[in-house]
Amino acid sequence: METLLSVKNLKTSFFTYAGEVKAVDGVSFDVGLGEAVAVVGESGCGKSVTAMSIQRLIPEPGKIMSGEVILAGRDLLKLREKEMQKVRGKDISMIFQDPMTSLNPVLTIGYQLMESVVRHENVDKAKARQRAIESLEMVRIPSPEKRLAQYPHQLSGGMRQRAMIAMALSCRPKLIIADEPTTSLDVTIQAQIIELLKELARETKTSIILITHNLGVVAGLADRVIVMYAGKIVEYGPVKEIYADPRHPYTWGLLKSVPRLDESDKQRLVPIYGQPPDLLKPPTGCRFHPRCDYAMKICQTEEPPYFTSDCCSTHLASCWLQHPAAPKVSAIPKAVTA
Amino acid sequence: MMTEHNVTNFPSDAFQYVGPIPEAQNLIVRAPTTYWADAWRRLKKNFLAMASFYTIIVLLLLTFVGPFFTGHTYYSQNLDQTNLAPGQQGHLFGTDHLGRDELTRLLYGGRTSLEVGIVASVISIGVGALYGGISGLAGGRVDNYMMRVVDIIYGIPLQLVVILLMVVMGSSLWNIFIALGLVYWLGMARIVRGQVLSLKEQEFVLAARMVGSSQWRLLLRHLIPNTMGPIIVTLTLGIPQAIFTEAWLSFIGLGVQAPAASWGVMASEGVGGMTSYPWQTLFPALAISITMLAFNFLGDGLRDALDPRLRR
Amino acid sequence: MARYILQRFFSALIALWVLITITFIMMHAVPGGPFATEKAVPEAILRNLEQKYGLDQPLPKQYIRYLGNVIRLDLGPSYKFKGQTVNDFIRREFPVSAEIGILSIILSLLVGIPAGVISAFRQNKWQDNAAMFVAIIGVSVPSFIVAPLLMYVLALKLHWLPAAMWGMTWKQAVMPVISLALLPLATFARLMRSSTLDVISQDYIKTARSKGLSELQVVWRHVMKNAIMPVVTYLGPLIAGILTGTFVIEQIFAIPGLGREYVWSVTNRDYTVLLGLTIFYGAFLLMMNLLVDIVYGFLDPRIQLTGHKE
Repeated sequence: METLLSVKNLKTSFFTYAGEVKAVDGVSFDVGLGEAVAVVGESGCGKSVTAMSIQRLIPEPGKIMSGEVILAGRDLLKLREKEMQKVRGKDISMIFQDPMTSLNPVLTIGYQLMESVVRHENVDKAKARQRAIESLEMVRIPSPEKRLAQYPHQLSGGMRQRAMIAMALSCRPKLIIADEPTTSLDVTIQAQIIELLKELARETKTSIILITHNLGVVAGLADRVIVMYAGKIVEYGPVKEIYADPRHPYTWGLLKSVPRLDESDKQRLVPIYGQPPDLLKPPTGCRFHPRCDYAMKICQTEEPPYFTSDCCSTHLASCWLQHPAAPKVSAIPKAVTA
Repeated sequence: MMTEHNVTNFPSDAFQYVGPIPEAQNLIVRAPTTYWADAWRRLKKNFLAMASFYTIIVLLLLTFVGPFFTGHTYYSQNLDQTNLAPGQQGHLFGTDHLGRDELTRLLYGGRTSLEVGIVASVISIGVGALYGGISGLAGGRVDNYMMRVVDIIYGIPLQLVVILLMVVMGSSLWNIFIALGLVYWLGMARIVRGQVLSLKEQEFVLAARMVGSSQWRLLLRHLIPNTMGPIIVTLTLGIPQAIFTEAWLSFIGLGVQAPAASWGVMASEGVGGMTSYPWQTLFPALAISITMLAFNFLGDGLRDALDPRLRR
Repeated sequence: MARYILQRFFSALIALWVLITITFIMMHAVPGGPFATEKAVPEAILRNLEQKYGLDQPLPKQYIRYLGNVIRLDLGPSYKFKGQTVNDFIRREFPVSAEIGILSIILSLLVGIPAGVISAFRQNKWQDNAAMFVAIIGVSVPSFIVAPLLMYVLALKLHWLPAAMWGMTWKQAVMPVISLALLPLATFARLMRSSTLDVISQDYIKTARSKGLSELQVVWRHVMKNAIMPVVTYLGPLIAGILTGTFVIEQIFAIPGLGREYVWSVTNRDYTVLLGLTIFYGAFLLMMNLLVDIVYGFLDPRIQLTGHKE
């Protein structure tokens, strides 16, 4: 598959009163053309900061420290701000979590839709309007002409998120970054929105980076999964692999905290105990070791490299358990199987 | 890109099982501190607010104790020594047009101004908190009517009502307390009601209800302590407001009556003689400004310190 | 929208009615009645006045009559200045006060709003700290304190500006307008700063940036319209503040405006003028508040469409 986006060794820090918080600490991954990649992890693991770094929209006091973000051959981190503005909304566009707060309450849907078309494509008002209507049709919003004059508060949550997606699509971007696009929606609406994103991505061959903490959403949409923990990627692989053969204890934890209908009630829902570490002073060695049920001595001091497995070279995990010398553990520890 | 390291040379026990660190599993990110201790800690970090806090304490001490130590009284006139410049004949801040010691009057007037500020604020907060608390607690139609009344009073230009009240009641210290207290309770009522309404929805109130706490117990034990933050902020910011209004009334001729003094009265008396005796205006003007600044800085600092939304 | 305006209009009417009623009660609460304070009033004039105000009639009837007069915009004669009516005072002196007031509002908006926006975008940098330090002084030092200080420095010491009076040269306007504008200016700057900070942390600003808009477009289209709203709601109290400020400022600078007239009516206990002007000022402020509410309604689509806030 042809690579569209390539993120290499990205480091983004926030400089707070207390010191430097390394929110993203050396993250590398690729997104192929037309591919959907999911980034999962707890809140605060750096997944949203990764997304904002790609768009170069890190707010103060944050700063991208190093790395490369190569989109179709160009390193976005080297562009001047003016050039970057031409990339945002045109080549890469974003869908945010809460459609209530992501749309400007005092501007009409139409205005907000046409804004990026007018900005990026040399078109007149009438043409922009036509484009806005087309975008709304694309996301299956009924009577689009009428919607143009409406304000966000007049639409339901699901409709607003559709409008957000329409806005993201309006310049036919190469990449859409969807940051928790369904988290604030009702469960029934969530499924619709995911279905819609899937169809649109297929129709328009747009690549998607889906940021979520909900592995249920991932299964429905993504081709590949990146699991992040405390600013680093801990596991990385095709979605089927991740579900069938997760390698990292953190991924095990994540998977166990997804309620599944096909499991017998023998296996209960298990939380991952504790909270993500304070990134002001992250744990030494593997960052997950303080919470890890399988922590070994080495985990406390040495940072694990990425291990591939025998079966497939595209599935990597950063965990000492993958070392040949480590004891073999099954994904389901005895302690939690009742 | 990502490659497997060929790791060798590990100590033999490197892969020995140690398990999770227990504390990390129920990691509490910050040590539990009480709301007030937390607020106090934040306030202490705010230099301007703390400087203001100590300034206010000094002001209170000076104005309430100071007049006894100046060697003059605020009312004793000496027509041979009128309008003395600062420093002349033992009058550190000079004298006024009746030969009264400016320093003594300034300290004594400060007492009046601070009293007005504090008492009027306390009255308006008492009235407002009670009204807002009842309104919020009652809820429903009662709340609706009570707030409609507040809305209507809010629409009336209150400064004008204060003037009318003072004209009718006559200007005395007590009447200033009453007029200001009666008129400036509206904002407080709204704040307290809002707090009560939002607190009513929270779980701990529900929990208290479930164990059968009575309404009054609820009000006193849960709601009032939880609204203390905004009340203290409003109180602190209400004091300069009241001092301001008193001074403004003095300029209109409705301040405290001679021989009593307040900073407002002194400043307005001084303006007429600005050309010849500017210090008679400058001293009280500076005193008012410093006091209002101190209360405003402290109020701002308190708001930042007490607002739990800022807790990070 | 029409419903919203109508609703506002009626609450303003009710507030005005309450104010008129208060003034009526006050007039009767004055010990011995409004006209009994002075001794040397000729019997005939006293009776004339009492008749004019119907003081010989039962209270409810007086009240109706009083309301009727107000509705016919007849605020009555001055008791102290023979042959002059309250309406005469207003016609002659209100334009002066209005001029000072309007100039102050313009000055405070022109300086305060940009200062607030700049502060917000330079949050915690020196520009912000400097502006906010000046602003807190602005809200802490009353206009009637600023005025004598300015007068002392600019007029009496440096002789740059005339110390008092009005209408002969623009220089006479400088000090009164600055003194009056300082508080609203500082308040605008503070309000605008906090509302701008509030808005720029909103998700829809992230959305706007992610569309590739330039910083100027983001600020102008997405930040300003939202951030200006709390400032608009403050315009009502601001106008009231400036108006009551003129009471004192006009006195300090010897400006022949309506504010000074009002203060005179207080010191002279010219009750008819005091009450008449109170009603006039009250009605004026209520009208201004109504206007502000309508402007707000047009800015906020939630009100425009449903007639309700939130």
